[in-house]
Amino acid sequence: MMNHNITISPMQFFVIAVNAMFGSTLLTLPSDLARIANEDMWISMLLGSILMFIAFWISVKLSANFSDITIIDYHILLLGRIPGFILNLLMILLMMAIVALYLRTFTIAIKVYLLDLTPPIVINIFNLGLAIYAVQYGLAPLLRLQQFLFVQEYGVFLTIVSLGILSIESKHYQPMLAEGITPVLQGMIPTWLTYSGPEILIGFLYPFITTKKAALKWGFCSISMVTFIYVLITLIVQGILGPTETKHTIIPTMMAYRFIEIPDTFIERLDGYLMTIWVIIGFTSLINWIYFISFGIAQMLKLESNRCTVVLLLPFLYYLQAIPPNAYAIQIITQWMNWSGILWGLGVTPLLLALAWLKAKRKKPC
Amino acid sequence: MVKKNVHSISNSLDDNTTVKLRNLQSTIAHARQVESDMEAITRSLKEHLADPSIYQIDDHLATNVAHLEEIFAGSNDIHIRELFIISLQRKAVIVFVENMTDQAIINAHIMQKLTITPTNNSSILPPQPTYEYLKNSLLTAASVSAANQMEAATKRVLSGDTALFVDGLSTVLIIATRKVDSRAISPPETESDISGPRDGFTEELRINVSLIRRRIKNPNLVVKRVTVGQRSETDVAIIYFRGIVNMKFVHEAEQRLKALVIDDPTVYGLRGLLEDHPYSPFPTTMTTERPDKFTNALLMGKVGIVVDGTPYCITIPAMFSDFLQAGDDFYQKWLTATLIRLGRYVTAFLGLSFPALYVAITSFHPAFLPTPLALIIGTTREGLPFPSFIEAIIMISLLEIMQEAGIRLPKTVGSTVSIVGGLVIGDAAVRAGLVSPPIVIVTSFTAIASFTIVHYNMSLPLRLLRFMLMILGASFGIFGVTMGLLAISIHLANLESFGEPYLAPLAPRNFGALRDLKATTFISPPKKIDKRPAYLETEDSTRQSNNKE
Repeated sequence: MMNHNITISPMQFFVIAVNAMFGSTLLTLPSDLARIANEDMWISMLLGSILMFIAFWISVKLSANFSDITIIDYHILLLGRIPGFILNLLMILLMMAIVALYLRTFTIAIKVYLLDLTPPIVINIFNLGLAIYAVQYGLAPLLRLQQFLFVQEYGVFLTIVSLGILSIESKHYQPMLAEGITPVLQGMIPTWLTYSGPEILIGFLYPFITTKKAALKWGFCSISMVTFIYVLITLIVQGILGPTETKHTIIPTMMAYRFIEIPDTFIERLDGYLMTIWVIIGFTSLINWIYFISFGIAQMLKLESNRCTVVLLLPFLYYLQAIPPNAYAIQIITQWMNWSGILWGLGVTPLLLALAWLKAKRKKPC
Repeated sequence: MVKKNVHSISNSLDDNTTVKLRNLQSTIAHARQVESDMEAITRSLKEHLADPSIYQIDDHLATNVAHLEEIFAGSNDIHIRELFIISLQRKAVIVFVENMTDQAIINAHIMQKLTITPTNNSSILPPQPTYEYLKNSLLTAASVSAANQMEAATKRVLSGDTALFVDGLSTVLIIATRKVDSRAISPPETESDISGPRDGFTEELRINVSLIRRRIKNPNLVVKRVTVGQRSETDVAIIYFRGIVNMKFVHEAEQRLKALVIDDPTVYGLRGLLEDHPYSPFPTTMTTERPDKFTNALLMGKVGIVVDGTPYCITIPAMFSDFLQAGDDFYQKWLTATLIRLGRYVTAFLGLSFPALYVAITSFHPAFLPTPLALIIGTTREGLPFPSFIEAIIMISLLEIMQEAGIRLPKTVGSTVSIVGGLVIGDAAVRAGLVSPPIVIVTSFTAIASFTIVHYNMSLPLRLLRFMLMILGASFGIFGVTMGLLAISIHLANLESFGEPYLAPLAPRNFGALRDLKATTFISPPKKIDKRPAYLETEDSTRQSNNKE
C-alpha cells in the first residue's frame, strides 16, 4: 500500500535504484557481452551505462513536468484514457517480464550451484512467498529493509568480488579493439537490462521525493555505482575465464569464481559465497520490482491498497517465468527484452517528454 | 333533605375511598421499601468487593468510621485509632497501615500535637476545625495534603500515609508517614559493567526516582504518577525531561498506561503490555536496572517508566541497536569501544546463525569449505549415528537446558551445572561417538557469542530463531538460511516502537540522519557526540555545544 503521505529522501531513492538494477543479469551478462564484443566486453559494459544516464535524465525531466502524480497518472493525462491505459499496461508487462526473467535465472542458478535436487517450484514459491511478505506492508518498511541490508550486502559482495582480482590473467584482455568500435557499440545493447530500473522507478517515486532537485544527482550516483561494480565483475570474469570460455558458459560469473584459488591462503571456490550474497542482492531487487508492479496495477484499477494485487501477482509471475522451455529461449527473450527496454527508455519516454513540453507550451499564455 | 342525604352519603364514600387510597399508597410505599431493602441485601450478599469510590466523606465522624470499616473489612493491619483533639474539642480518627508507616512520625507529629492541651487559651472559644488550621497550627509533619474523596484517601492510606478524619470536617488530611522496608541499593545483577557505577534500581519506586533525581538535578525532569492495575493499584511514574523529549512519546505512554485493564502490572510485565507488536519475539521496549543508563536515555529524549515493585525500569522508544549497547561503552575509549560494539553485532549474528550454517554446509555444501577443513570435518563425522541436523539440535537443546537450569538454580549450584553440562556431557558425548567434536566447538562458540548480547530480552528471540534457521538450513541448505535471515530482516523492518522504526538509526531517513550512527552503531570521540538522535525528533537536538574549538 502506498501511503500518499509518505515521502522518501533522495538517498533512499539511491538505495532503491541500486537495488533495482542488480538483478539476474549479474550472472549471465558476461556471456552475452563476450559473444558480441569479445575482449572488449568490459568497454561495452562501461559505455552501456551512458544509455542509461540518458534514459534516466529523460525520465526525470518528464516526471518533473508532473511533480505531484505518478507515471501511471501522467500517461493518461498526456495520451488520454485508453491509449494511456494501454501504455501503462505495456509498461507493467515489461516490468513483469523483468521479474519473470529474474525468477527463472535465479531458480536455475540455485539449482545448479546450491540445491540440485530441490524442485524449481519449491525454490520459486519460497522466493515469491517471502517477497510477498516483504512487500505487503508498504513502501516505508520496504525502504527500511533495503537500507538496513545495503551496507552489509554490498560490503560483503564487493569483498568477495574483489578477491577475484587475485586470479585474473592480463592476457585475456588482449588485443583491445581488434575488431574496431562496432562490436563494442553493439555490445551496449545487452547491457540495457543490467542497468534497467531507475528510469522506470523514478516515474513512480518522483512525487514522493522530498528534494526533487537532488533526484537526478542521486540517480546518476546509483547508475555510476552499478557501472563500477558491473565493469569490475566483467573485467574479473574476462580475466579469469577469457572471452572464449565466457561466451560458451551459461552462468560465467559463478564459473569464474569457482576457479578462484589462492595458494597458501584459506581462499578457494568463492562461487558458493558469491551465490549466497547474490540471493540477498537479487531478493532486494525482486521486491522492488514486485512492489512497483503491484502499485502500478492498483493505481490503474483505482484500488485503495495494493495488498491484494501483490497476492494475485504470484501465479502470474510463476507462470511467466515457466514459459521459456530452455536456456536458448531465455537468451532470445532476454534479447527481446533488451530491445523493448531501449524502445521504452529511449523511444517512448522522449516522445512523451516532447508531448509534455508541447502541452505545457500551449497552456502558457502568449 | 334528599340533597343533604346524598351529600352525607357521598362524603362518607369519599372518606372511605380516601382512607383506602391512603392505605394502598402506604402499602405500595412499604412494598417498595421492602423491595429496595431486599435488593440492597441481595447486592450486599453478591458484592465481595469494596469500592471506595461509592463512599463520600461525611461531616460526621461516625459515618466516616463506619465507611472505613466497610472498606477495610476489618483488616488487622489497618488501624483506625480514635482520639480527641483538645484544642478543637472534637473527636478525630487516624487511619494507617501498620507495617508501612513510620510510627515515630505518627507519635511525634500527629498524636502528640493533636492531643496536647493548649496552655493560655482556655478562655477562648475553640477555633473552627479547618484544613488550614490543622495543617498550619497543629500538625508538625513535613508533608500534609488534603483529600476530598474517600477513594483518594484510602489509596493514600494503602500507600503508607496516614489519614486524619475530624468530626465536622468534610476534608481528610493526609500526612506523609510512608516507610516501607526495601532492599538496599545494590549492583545490578543482569547488567554488570566494568567501569560504570555500581548502583542499581530496587523494587521501591521512591528510591528509584531518587536515584534518577540524584543524577539529574534539574527542575525540568518531570515525574508524572499514574495508577495502573485494577486490583493492585500500582504506582507507575512516567519520567521525562521537559524541553528535550518529544511530547508525543509522553502522551502515547500515558494513554497506553491509562488504557490498561489488568489486575497487577508487575505480574504481567508492563513492558509486554505497552509494546506495539505483542506477537513479535523481539522486544520493542527497553528495560534496565541501571540508573545511569536510564538517565542517559532520558537525556537522549526518551521517556522512562518506573513501576513500583520491580527493579526493571522501562525506556521508550527502544530500537534494535539499543539492545546491543552496553553501559560500559561510553566509559571506555571510543576506538576500542567502537570495535567492541561492532564485534557485538558480529557475535549476535553468529550466535543466531552459526549452528544453522554448520548444518547447511555439512549437509548440503561441503564445497563451501576449504578442502583441508572439509576433510577434517568429514573425518570426525565418520561413523556418527546422527545427521548433522540432529546432532546440532541435540547439542543446542542441551545448551538451552543448561542455560535455563543455570538461571533457575542458586548461583553456587548453577556453576556446577555449567561444568557438568559443558565438560562432562560434551566430552562424554564425543567419546561415546554420539556427536562430533566440531559440533561441540560450534555449540560452545554459539553459547559464548550469545552471552555477548547485552540484554537478556534480546538474546531470547535470537535463541528461538536459532532453531528456525537450523530447520531451514537442514531443509534448504545455505539458501534456506539466507532466506530465513532475510525473513528476520523483513520482520525487523516492519517493527515499530511507539511509532518509530525499530531499525531507526541503522536505516537512516536521509543523509543527515547518518550522524545518529555516531552514538548507536559506532562510538565517536566524546566531543563529536553533539546531537541527539534525529529519529527521536527531540525539542532540543543539541546535546553539547562546547565542541567548537
